Amino acid sequence: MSPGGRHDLGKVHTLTWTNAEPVPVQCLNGEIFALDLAIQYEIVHLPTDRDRGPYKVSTRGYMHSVQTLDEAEVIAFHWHPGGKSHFTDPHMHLGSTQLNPAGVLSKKHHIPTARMSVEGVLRFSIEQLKVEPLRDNWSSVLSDSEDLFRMWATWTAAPAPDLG
Amino acid sequence: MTTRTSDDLVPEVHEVSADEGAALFDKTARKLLGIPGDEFLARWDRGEYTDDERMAVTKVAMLIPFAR
Repeated sequence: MSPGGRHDLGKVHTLTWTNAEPVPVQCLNGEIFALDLAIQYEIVHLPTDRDRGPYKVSTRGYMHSVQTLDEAEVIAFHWHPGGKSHFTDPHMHLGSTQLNPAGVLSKKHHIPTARMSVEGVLRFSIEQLKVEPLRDNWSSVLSDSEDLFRMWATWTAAPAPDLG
Repeated sequence: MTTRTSDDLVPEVHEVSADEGAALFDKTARKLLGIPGDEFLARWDRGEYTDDERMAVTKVAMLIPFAR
């Protein structure tokens, strides 16, 4: 957690793995990937919001990816509206190692997605990439956590447009 | 994001100090892009990474809150 990430208002913070290093995860077939998770958030003071207040954590961006151990990207889920890209909605990238060099898609293409939760990335990794979970009740743990996230999230597909 | 405090394991979250954050940011910038952290910030503020979608750039940019 970046400095001030527990309490400081009016500032974007980042939560990620220790030393910002991807974490190795093992698949059922013995293959090992590296899972990288990073969330930017802001602590927002909502003194008059009886449901979400007086404080809530608002996501300001994320970057989650599955990589090979030599740090080649397999798939990445991004949302970085505060970055330098013109693409500011949630999206994914497919790693070049997963694509046909003669194909239409490249790793640079922004493939639109709904908002991706950490739980969604973990579930994708377990169900689709066959990453081996450490606990038998992984599905219910993820569901319980993601249910809370979806209950309080103010948007799921794309942020509301700025009409100001 | 939520945490649970029942029988489920809740991983420890470590809030780094300002010095630790700066060191982490610098180390990551050097590792992924071959430049010091403050050089990345200078280039970032000048807009030199506009539409640069390299994973390394995106990753280091996500860590800017560790530096400032």
